[in-house]
Amino acid sequence: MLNLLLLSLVKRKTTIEEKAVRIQNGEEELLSSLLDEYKPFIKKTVSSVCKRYITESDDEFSIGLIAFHDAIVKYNTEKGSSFISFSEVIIKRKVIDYIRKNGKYQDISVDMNNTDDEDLPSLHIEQLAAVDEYQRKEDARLRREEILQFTKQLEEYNLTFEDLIDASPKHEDARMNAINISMIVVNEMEFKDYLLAKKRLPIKKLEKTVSVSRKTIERNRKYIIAMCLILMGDYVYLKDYLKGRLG
Amino acid sequence: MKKGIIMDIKSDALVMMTAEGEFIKGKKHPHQHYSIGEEIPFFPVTGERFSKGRRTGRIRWKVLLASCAVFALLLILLPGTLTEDRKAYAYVSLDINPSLELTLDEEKKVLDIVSYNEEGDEILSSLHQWRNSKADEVTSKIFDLCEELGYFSETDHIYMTSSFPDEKDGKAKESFIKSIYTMIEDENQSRPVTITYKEASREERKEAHEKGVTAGHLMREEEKEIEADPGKEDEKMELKNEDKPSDQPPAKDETKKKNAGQKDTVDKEEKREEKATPRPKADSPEKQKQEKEQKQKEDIRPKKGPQQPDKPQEPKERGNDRQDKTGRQGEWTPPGQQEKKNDQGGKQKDIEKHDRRMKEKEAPQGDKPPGNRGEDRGRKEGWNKNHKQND
Repeated sequence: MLNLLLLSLVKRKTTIEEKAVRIQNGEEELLSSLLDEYKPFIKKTVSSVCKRYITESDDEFSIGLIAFHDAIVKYNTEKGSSFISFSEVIIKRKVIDYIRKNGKYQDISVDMNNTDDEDLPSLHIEQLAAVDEYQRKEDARLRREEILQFTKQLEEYNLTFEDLIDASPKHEDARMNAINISMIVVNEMEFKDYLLAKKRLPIKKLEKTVSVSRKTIERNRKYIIAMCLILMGDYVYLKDYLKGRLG
Repeated sequence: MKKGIIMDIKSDALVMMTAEGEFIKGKKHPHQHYSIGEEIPFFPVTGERFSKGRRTGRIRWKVLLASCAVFALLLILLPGTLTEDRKAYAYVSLDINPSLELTLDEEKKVLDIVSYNEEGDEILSSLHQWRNSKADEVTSKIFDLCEELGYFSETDHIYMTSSFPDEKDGKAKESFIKSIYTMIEDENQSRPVTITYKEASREERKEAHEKGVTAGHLMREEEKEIEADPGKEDEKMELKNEDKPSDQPPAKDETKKKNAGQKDTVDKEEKREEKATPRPKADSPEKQKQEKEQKQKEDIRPKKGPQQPDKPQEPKERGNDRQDKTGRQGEWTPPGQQEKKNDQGGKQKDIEKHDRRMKEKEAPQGDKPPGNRGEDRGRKEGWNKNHKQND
C-alpha cells in the first residue's frame, strides 16, 4: 500500500515537460499513455481551428495527433516555454496546412467532376477564405504575444525598436554578416553565457573568431544582440518568419 | 512597397520587420487600424530616424513659440482693454445741495464719484455698488437718496455741468451730453425741479478743483456775483489792473534789497575796519600790562616760599617797590636814559637773586636771627644804591 502511494505521488509530481524529456530519452512506452491522456486537448485545439465539433474518426484529429507527437519529439526545455503552448502552436499549424492542401484537392475534384450543384464551389471558396483569414488572424495573435515578450527582453538590454531601426544594416550583405555573427554567438556557449550575464557582446573574443572588423561589430552591435535574442528565445513565429535568413 | 510584420505602433509611424530581418520605419495611415503582429504591405519611410532629443527639442521650441505668441497677445490686448475700460470720457457734476462729480467712460459707465461737501459725503456713503455701473442707474439712486434725505425740499434746482478731458468731436460730444441730460430729465419728471445744464472747459474745471468746488458751483457763484453787482466786473478788471503795478514793487524791492545788500557789505567792511583798527591799539597795552603782571607774579611766587617768617615786613617792601615802578612809568625820560635804567634794573635783579640764594644757604644753619637778616638786606641795598650813584 505504501509503495502504491509513493508511486502515485511520484506520478503526480511528474510534469508533462519532464515526460516529454523522458520520451526523448527513450521511454517509448510513456508516449502512448501521454497521447491517450491528452486526446481531449488535441480535439479542443483542432476544433478551434476547424470551428466545428471534432471526433476521433475525423482526419483533422489524426493530423492533430501527429502534430502532438512531433511536438513531444521537438520540445526543448532550455527555451523555457511550456509544452502546452508549444504543442498548441504545432497542432494548429499542421491542421491549417492540411486544410489548405485538402481545399486545393477539393477544387480540382470539383472541376473534374463537373457537378451541377452551383453552390458547391462557392462554399469551398468561402471555406478557404474563412480558413485563410482565421489562419492569418491566429498567426498575428500568436506573433503579437511573441513580440510583446521580445519587447520586454529588449528593455532588459536597454534597447528599443527605434534603436534597431537606426542600427539595422541597410544592405543585404551587411545584414547577412550581422545575422551570421549572431548565430555564432548563440552557438558558442562561452559567447552566449557572456551575453546573457553581461547583457553585451564579447567583442574582443568575437573579433578573433569572426572575419569581421571590430568597427563593423560595434556598429551593428544592437542589431546583432536583437537577432541573438530571437535565436535564443522561444519565438516560434518570429523564427518561422525569418527562416529564410536564420536557416 | 515592402511587406513585413508590425513590431510596434508609434504615434506617427510603424516599426516593421521584413522577412529579410530588416527593421524599418513604415508609413502610418491615420484612418487605418493596425495591430502588433499583423503582416501587411507598407511604404518605408527613409531618411528620418527616431531621435528623442530632437523631438523633445522641437516640441519645446514649439511650446515656447506658442507661449510667446500668447504672451504677446496678452500684452497687446489686456493693457488696451484696461486702458479703454478705465479711460475717462467725461466729467459730469451734479449740484443740488450735495455736490458730486461723476467720471464717465464712453459707454456711460461710472468710473469714479467725488464729493465736494458734507452733503455729498452723506450721499456717497449711502451709495453702494456704483463703480462700473451705468450712469442712469447711479444718478437715479443719487436723486432717490436726495429725496429721502430731504434735499429737494431745500432746493428745486439741479445744476448739471459737463467737462471733457480731451478734445472730442462736436457731434459726439453733443450726443453724449444730450443723452446724459435726457437721462437726468427723465429720472426727475415726477419731481418739481428745474435742471440747468452748462459746459465747462478744462481750465474752469481745474480752477474749480483748486478751490475745492465743482465747476458748476464755481460758475454759479460767478453768476451770482455778477447779478448782485454788475460793477464787480469793472472792479475785478481794476483789481487786475492794480495787480499789474504790483510788478513794480518787486523791482523796487529788489533795488532796495540790492542797496541794502550793498549797505550791509559796507557796514560789515566798516565794522571790520573798526574792529581791526582799535584792536592793535587797545590790546597791545593791555597785553603788555598782562605780561608785566604775569612777570611780576612769576617773580613774586618764588619769593613767597622761603620768606614766610618775614610776612609782616614783606608787604611794605612790596608796596614800596610797586610805587617806585609806577612812579617811574609816569615820569618821562629820554631814550638813552631809559636803556640805561633797564640795564641797571636787570643787574639789580641778578644781584638780588644772588643775595637770596646766599641767604637761603645761610638760613638752614640758624646762626643769625631773623632780625639780623633784615639789617643785612638794608645794608646791601644801601650799598647798591651808593655804588650806582658813584657810577
